[in-house]
Amino acid sequence: MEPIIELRNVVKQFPGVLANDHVNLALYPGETHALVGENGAGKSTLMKILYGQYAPDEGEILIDGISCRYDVTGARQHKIGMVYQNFMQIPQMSILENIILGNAPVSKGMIDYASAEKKVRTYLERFHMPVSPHTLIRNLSVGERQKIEIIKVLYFDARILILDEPTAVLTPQESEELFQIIETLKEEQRSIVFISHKLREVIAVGDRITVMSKGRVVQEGWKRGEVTETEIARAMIGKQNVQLIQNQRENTPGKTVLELNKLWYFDELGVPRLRDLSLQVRSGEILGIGGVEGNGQTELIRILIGMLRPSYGEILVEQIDLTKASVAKRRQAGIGFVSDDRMTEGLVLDGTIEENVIAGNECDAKFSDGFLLKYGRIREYCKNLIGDYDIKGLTPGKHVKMLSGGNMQKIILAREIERKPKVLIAAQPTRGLDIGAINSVRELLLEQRKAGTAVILVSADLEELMSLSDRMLILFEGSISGEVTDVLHVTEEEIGLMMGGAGEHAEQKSH
Amino acid sequence: MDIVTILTVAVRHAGPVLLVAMGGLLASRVNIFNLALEGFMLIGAFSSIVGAFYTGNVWLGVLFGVLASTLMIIIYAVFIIELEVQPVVCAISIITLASGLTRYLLNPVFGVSGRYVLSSELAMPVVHMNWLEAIPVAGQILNNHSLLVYFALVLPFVLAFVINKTKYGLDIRAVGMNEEAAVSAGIHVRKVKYSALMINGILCGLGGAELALSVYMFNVGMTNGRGYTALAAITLAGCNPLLSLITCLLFGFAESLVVSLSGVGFSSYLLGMLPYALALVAAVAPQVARRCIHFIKRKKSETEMISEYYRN
Repeated sequence: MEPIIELRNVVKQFPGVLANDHVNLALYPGETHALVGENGAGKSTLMKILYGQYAPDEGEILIDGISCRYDVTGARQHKIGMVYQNFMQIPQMSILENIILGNAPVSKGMIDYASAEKKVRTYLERFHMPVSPHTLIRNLSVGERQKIEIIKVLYFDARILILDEPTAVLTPQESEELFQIIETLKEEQRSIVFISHKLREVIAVGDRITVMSKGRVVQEGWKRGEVTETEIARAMIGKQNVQLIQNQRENTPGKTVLELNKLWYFDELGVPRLRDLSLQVRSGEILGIGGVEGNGQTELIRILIGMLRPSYGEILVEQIDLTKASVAKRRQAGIGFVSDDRMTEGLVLDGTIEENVIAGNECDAKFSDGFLLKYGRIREYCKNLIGDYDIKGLTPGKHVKMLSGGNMQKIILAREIERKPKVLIAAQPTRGLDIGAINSVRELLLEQRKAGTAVILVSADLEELMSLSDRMLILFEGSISGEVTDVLHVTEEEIGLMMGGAGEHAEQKSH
Repeated sequence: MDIVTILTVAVRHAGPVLLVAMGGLLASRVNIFNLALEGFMLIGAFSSIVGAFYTGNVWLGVLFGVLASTLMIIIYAVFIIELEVQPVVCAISIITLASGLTRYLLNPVFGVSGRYVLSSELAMPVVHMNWLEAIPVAGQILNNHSLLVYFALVLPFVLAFVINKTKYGLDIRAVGMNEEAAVSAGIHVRKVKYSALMINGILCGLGGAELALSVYMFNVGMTNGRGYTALAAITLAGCNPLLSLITCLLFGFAESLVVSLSGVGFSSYLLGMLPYALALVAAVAPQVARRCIHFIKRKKSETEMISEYYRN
């Protein structure tokens, strides 16, 4: 069979990064081609080239055997459609308008809304969505928005669908539904590029599997059933040892350090983002907070560190009420924070490592005599941290933006941990890191647990939560939809149900 | 002065502002806050007088004004779209350039400074419609305006139609609301932005021409803040064309009130503030009121939601 589309020797160079290094990829009609790789492996760049957003520096794209050069409009004319992970939708517009965007049918100079609506309705029915096409996108759930994103490309009859990490924001159940949709698309002889870094999904969905690493294809076109998760993982990171550090859960937690009582938060639009949220974290305990993104995690974190004020409820650290305390007061009271956005919130990228490690403590007598900074001392301190936390890639005085993600994260952890926090809030601490760095971060968090810190781990990665937490809470629409006390014996399916809000306030089944 | 005259003058004053406002509205809809409306309007006013002077034809004068302000806005567009200059910075240079250039060119072109008055034959003609006379009050208010004023009054309806019913309008809304999403939907974002700005330029030219040719003269700085007024009007109306029509008419009314009240002995200095004070009140008062009501409503709905939650 002839490939429907083929990328040959595609090269794309960005300043300082060779994002795609002579990449080959072929896609056949009616197949799902899974593309796997760690963050920064070059998958997204390759797909942007395929969708005409970037022009390749070298190499060619063959569509039905003919070499083509095109932009986004051209890609759509070739019936190539992209389903983005951060949905490319306009929340203030209706479902209908979002779908016909760029393809609106016109009659007598006006958009033919009637005929478009008819067509959209058939798609909504097909995907079992009982909503009006005039519903605004912002009123939809994430799972529904994902389906709209697929309808958008089917609306112009795409034969090639690029799904960029489509399950990142879905519950396991919603993902399952998506896989069924993919099956029906294949039956219509459409081809799908499925990008993911979740190995289990890749094995389940991909007819063929291609692995990318550091801009290159390291394994091309493994067939379904020919390969195991471990083999893919090895190809992805190119190392034999893929063992991630686990919480051994050897000692029992101590007294309660942080307590939240009946927390409510209403956003600007008056929508409740947190509802009646109460929780306690004890010293020497890692409390994992899970849930599909956008179910109150961000608001909870921001309220804990003092960047948002709760509408109602109270926050206590060691029985001291911090509900109205400023960020600085909270930090003094012992709250440490590892931001999920290390590039803007966690670090000052244009600052030096010295400036970053003392940030927030610069008035400390150790670093300042009240007017001038004691640079000698600071440099000394910084040198010790670089050694203690194994921060690589710089000497004191260099800007931190030159560092890799893993080393950036180590600087943040060093800063927060050296303050000896009573409560450490870690938000997506390993997101985007390679496996070595993930293990360093995990180790640091477990050390904190051992030292008696109350750790709150907010993560979208179920595996990470299940490996590190002593106890887990699952958030759904701003309240706790389930608690997992026996983390060792819970299944992903059970957690998935809690993430979807099913069995609200369900306790974990006993085993 | 009777109220009918005041209202008639109000419509005449609102005309040029309305034209400029509709241009700025399109720019705002593609997410370009065009602070330089004042500058483009001034260029349009000056050039239309120059055009009418050299050609001896008022409509060729209008054309000249439109061409000049469109040319200027193309430069502005290239700077902000291609070179990614901050629109506000670019706007300030356009305004400065427009004010300096028109003041300077007055001398080499007309050999005068300060102002130049054309012969009254080159005044913008007014259209008299006999059938309007039959309608009391409204007929009088709407009669005897120039073609451009009538065009200005119809324009908001045209724009409302284009924005809400046509493909081009959908593209404009998409670009303004989420540029990335528009790109990914295959919309030519740059084309949409350029075209919206071009229309903006044409309308500013028309606004300037109406302002200058209706009194067949150019006065240094004669736009006198009308560009900003237009901007205030569309901002106040949330970039809705029909609401903008109302806010522009309101500004026209305030200005007309100033003219008539100063005629009966009120201090012209104090009255000069009236349109601006009115704009300020109109802009701020509803906001404050809305905020207050919103806050009370929110607290109420929040407590309701919470008590309902605990009841279940």
